[in-house]
Order: sequence, then C-alpha cells, then structure tokens
Amino acid sequence: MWEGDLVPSSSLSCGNSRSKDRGQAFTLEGVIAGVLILVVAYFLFQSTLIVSPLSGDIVDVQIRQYGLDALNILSNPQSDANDTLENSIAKLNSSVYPTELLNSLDTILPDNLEYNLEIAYFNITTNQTGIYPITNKSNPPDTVTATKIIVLRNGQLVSDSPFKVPVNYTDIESVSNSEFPVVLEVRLILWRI
Amino acid sequence: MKSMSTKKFTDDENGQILIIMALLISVLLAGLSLLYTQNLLAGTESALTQLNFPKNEIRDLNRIVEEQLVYYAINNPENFLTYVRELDKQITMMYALHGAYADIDVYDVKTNINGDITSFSVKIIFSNAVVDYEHTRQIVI
Repeated sequence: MWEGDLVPSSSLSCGNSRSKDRGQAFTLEGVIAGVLILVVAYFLFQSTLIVSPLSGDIVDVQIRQYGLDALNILSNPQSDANDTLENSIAKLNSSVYPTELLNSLDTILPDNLEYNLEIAYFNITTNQTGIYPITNKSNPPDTVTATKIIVLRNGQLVSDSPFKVPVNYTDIESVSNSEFPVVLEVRLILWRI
Repeated sequence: MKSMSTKKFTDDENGQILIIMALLISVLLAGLSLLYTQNLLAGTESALTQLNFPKNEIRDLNRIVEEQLVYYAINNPENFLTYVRELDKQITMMYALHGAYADIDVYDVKTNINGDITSFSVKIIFSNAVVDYEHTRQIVI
C-alpha cells in the first residue's frame, strides 16, 4: 500500500481484518448460491420431463395425424355417400376417377399439405401384393404416410375393379363369390408445400 | 515506489467475486444448455414414439373383428371359418408390407340348434419391432 493512501472503500480489500472477513463471507455466499442452483437443477432434471415442440419430428407427427383423421372421417362403410373410402374404392376402375373423394380430401386437409393417394391390395390368385395409384403427383423425399385398412366384399366392387377376386378362386373354396372379403390398405402420402 | 500494476494485483481483491460469479454463471449456463438438450431429446423421442407406435394398426384389427367377423357370423354361419381364414390371410399379407405380423384366430365357435353362431372367441395378434400385442375377445352375437 502506498504511504498516505486512504483505506480503500472496497469491501474486499485486505486493508484491515474486517474487510477480509467480509470477503470471506462473500465467497461463502457464492459457494452456497452455486450449490443451491445445482441442487435446484438436479431436482428439475429428476422430476420433470418437458416435451418440447422444438423437434422437427413433431411436425411429421402432426401431418400424420391430419392424414389419419382425414382417412377416419372418410371411412364410413354404412354410409351411401359417394365420397366415403368404401364407396369410392368399390366403384374404382380404369375409367372411374374418385373425384368426390379427392374433393373431400382437399377440403379436410390443411392448405399447406399436398398428397398422393394409393391403394395397396393382395392379388389372391398370384399371391402377390400390388399398388394401385389414384393420384400421381411428384413428391419430395420427406413424406409422411397415413394408412387405413378397409375391408370390402367382392360383390361391392364393380365388375372391372382391379381388386376383384375371380370366380374360379372362390369356386375352389366353395364359398359365395360376392361375399368374399377383399382387404385393402388406403395410403395417404402427405408432404408440406 | 511500486508501479500501478503491482498495486492492482496486491490491493484490488474484487477479483474473488468476479471469479466466483463467473463460475456461477458458467455453471448456470451449462445447466441451462443441459436442460435445453434434454428438452430436445425428449421432444424427438416422444415424436418418434408417436410415429412408430402402431395404435391405428391395432385399432384397425379390432374394428375388422367387430364389423366383418360379426357380419360373416350372422350372414354366412356355414362358411364363417372359411371367410375368416381368407380375411386373415389377406390381413397378414397387408401388415407384412410394413414389416409387421398380424393375425386373427377364431376359435370356440358356438352355435344354436338352428346352426346360427351365437358366440365365438377371437385372438388378435400384432407384432412389430416396437410392440407385441395380443388380445383375446369373446364376441357374442
């Protein structure tokens, strides 16, 4: 210390013993505060799980949910409406396009979503699965697919339906051709635009 | 005579507080960044769980049992098991497209003296990389 200097006003100055003590108290306070923060952080991590919408996957979940909701709304086997999945797919052939179904999908889905619709089916005579695309828009690589399994009976399908089970197969089984079950998977492929 | 820099080193002890506060703030920042990371991980994990968990597939199986099997039991009791077998075959193929196994087993079919089905038991099985689901139900017509 320089000769003639006044005692510094800093509380942590080591100029006299009282100031030294206050400095130690501050240090102790700091350590206690640090421990307190660590304890609070520890209990926070242990006791809570915060689900954040920050992840990009949440967006995929939401898009998929939109698709599933749309398919569930449009699936109604008891309805006579033309835009249900069952009625639209039952009438589907190479010349019939399910315009009403697609219009309803356009209405239900948000404007920022684009989609392709296709039907997966099992060809019972060849024992192979096939895909029947209804729309064929070019899609980006990151799409989300919502699916729904529907069951129709062979008699509900139009005569030239791509999903029709031939009579000779049901004859082997000795069951009614019109009552034969046809399992189809409706695939709604969604992406953001 | 001491230089100014020497005076600072020996007399100015605010440095203690600065170091401790810097330590505290860095611990706090580290804690917050950990919380943020945990948050992100939890969000991703829960989103993936929702995406992968096959609740709709299982729901579809239950719906098919309630609607189609009941329909065939009422309207085609004599060929009920044949239709169920064909239905099961196609369902298994459809679910196999997604790397999953699904099966509908009907057993214990009870009929009355007229040959009408009064009840049957059905075991619904679904299995994929995430879930093994098995559920037995008795359907009374």
